[in-house]
Amino acid sequence: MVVKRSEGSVVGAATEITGNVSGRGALRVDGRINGSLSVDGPVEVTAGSEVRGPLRAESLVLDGVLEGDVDVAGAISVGPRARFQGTLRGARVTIAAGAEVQADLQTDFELKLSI
Amino acid sequence: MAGTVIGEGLSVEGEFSSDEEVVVHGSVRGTLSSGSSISIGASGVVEADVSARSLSVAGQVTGNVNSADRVDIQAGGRLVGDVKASRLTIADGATFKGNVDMDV
Amino acid sequence: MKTMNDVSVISKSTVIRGHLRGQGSVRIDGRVGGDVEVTGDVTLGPDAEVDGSIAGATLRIGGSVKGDLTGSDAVLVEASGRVVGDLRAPRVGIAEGALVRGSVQTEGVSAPQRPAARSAHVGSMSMSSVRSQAATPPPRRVAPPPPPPPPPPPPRVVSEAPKVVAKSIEKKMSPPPPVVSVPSKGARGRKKKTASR
Repeated sequence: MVVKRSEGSVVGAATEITGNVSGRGALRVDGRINGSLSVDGPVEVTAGSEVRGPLRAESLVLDGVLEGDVDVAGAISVGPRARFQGTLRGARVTIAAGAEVQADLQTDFELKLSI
Repeated sequence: MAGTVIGEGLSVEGEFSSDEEVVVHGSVRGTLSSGSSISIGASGVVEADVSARSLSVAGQVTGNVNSADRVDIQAGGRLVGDVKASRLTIADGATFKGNVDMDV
Repeated sequence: MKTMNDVSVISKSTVIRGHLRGQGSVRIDGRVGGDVEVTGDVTLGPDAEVDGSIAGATLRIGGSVKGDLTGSDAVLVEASGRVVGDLRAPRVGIAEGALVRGSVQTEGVSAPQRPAARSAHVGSMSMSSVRSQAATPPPRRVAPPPPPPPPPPPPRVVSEAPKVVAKSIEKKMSPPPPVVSVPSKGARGRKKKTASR
């Protein structure tokens, strides 16, 4: 049996990981991860999936459940079916109306008012 | 396509369980189990006890293996640990060290 | 003087120092130094600035706000929106391009959040009632802790006489800015730089 090489990683819907996931490349989570997640590529947490633990990545697209502190260099996109609890730190954060969110948004920008 | 793919460069430390096919090109340390098949790609490094319906090893596995069906160690693959399975194949060029229990 | 009902508009050249409270909806294109609290919707145009909290039904924020946003229906921060403050509504949306720093809490639709939870002012009747205790909201920290769950919303009786509930947030007790009657077209407030965080 030949196993083909793969760039990205997928945690399938019927897969559960308790522990730490770290490394290079992109990761799509359709299943469950209880533990820290740290990759240098983009992470997608799809609808129906669950991640409980801190998450570090290049970017995050969240449509599932995520409880933990998120720290990404790029964009965070929280979809309408997502449930999130924790801290969001990223260069850009978008939240779709409909998402269930209890978040602390930590974005770095200056807001100067003239009033 | 496999349900779960741990790509090259990704490492998992902890308990890893699945009911679907798992392909490991990266590294897994801890435990690794699937109700379906598990394939360790050539770049895959597993330091874990592995439990699967069937296991194919083209990379490196250190740990005890328990398989209801079969274990295949491919050419270039390396398995260090005890194997309990109904069938075991070791290809020419594979490395294996451990006890075998095929009395399932 | 503008009274209740209908949609109020704070035009681009208008500067208000003081609170804005009342029924109906309001569109703000100018600048408000104080809290905004209405029963209807609040829309901030891209050039609008509010240094104070905003409470209403649906909040559409295209401008800049330093203060908390509380919507009984929704808080929607548009692409041009800039908010330093806490967002709270059953539905919260943050569009691509928007910048928000603060906590975000979506509440179940079953328990809609009424305005006045955090600003602790209870309704007055008209947009013209500018309160004298106008206050400058505190500079925000980078990582404000999630706000405590608000007290059960007070019944919002519109006939209730304007009253002031003691400010629960002591940090907001900074000296009040001068009070101006609303809306004073073209009024120009003394420029005040507030630290950005």
